[in-house]
Amino acid sequence: MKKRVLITRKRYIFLGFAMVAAAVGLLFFDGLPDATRLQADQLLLKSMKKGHYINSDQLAETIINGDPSLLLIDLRDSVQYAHYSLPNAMNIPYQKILNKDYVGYFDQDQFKVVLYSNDHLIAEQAWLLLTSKNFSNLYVLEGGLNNFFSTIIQPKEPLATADRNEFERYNTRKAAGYYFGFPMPRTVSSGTSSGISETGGILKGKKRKAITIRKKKKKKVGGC
Amino acid sequence: MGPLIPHELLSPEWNNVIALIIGIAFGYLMEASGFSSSRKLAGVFYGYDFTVLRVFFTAAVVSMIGILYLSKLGYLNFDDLYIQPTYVDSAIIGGVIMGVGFVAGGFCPGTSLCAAAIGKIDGMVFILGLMLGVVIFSEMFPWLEGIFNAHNLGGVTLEDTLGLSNEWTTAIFAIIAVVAFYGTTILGRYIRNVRY
Repeated sequence: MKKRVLITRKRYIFLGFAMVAAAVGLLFFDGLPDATRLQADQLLLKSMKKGHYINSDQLAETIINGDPSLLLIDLRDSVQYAHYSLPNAMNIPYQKILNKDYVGYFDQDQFKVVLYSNDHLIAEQAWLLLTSKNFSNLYVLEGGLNNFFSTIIQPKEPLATADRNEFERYNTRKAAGYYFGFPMPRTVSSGTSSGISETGGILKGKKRKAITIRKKKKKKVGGC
Repeated sequence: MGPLIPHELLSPEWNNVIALIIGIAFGYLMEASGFSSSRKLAGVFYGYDFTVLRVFFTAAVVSMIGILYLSKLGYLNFDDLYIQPTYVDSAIIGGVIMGVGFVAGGFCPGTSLCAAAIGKIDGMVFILGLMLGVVIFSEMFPWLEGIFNAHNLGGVTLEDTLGLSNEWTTAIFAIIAVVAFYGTTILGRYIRNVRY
């Protein structure tokens, strides 16, 4: 009987020590590297491959084809967005991309998300930030809106000596311009600071309002 | 990865199934610890049995350690855990009522169900009282609502109020627990053997 008590006591002493050791161990254990984040070298490789760029022609074609999986995200501020943007684009200013309310638009695999700003620098930074969190299906509009306007809305007519493909591309761009509401010859007003035609408003299309996506928290009830 | 249901790894329909499994395990362990005896439970207040302190303190510290390790190993997103908001007034008033009820009745709500399940009449009476209390509280709620919602601090933790990191809180609690276990063991030697 005495021996049994001794063994029980030893067991409790051991368990008590184990509990304290495990708790104190927490102070020195920083945790494993976050598996949900891409490592720097992988990110650099991915960024250098430039596979995430989509050019204006590809984007115009996707929009015209009405691809339902396309989600356009305008990263500029709301004033610039209100002035003009691409049809059906959603405005998430780049400062807010990691905001809990918006991150759900990036952390998904249903849509092909195209990020753009005036140029592609801000979009590229946003892409880096979001890709480092291992989000996929993200693309950057190469050259941003400026390039989109100079290629699709105001395409330059090729020289007479240019090859046939150049002319074909020019005609396609002209046709795409019609789709976006800019008949040829383009009527570009010099008064607007953005350099967009007076009909530039058409480009705005039907605006998508950003709907807040919140992960539902389950209410818990406790008690003993 | 976790919590499993908010992260959509399991559908919400599993909620009740998981609750049932955990509930059965919880009830089994309470019964195995002797918590279906009101005398044993009340012993912690009268100072002749400290099993309640040991069991609940161990449970709290083990879950603290477990949650932090799971979070550090990447299996659980700590930020997604729901933290019950702290209503200061309700906590104090409710705590007093619960404490008096615990000492007087010899059970807390969970243990009374445990006792009733093994056929103890005091457990069943306690549940009737509990139901009555719930009905009275619900009927009086429009009058009590002001007190109920007063001083809501939100889902605060010790990290927010004392500035202590979760790791330090856990380590301190673990040490307090072991000291309390040892202290109550020593104390037990000087207490007259109460038969119950």
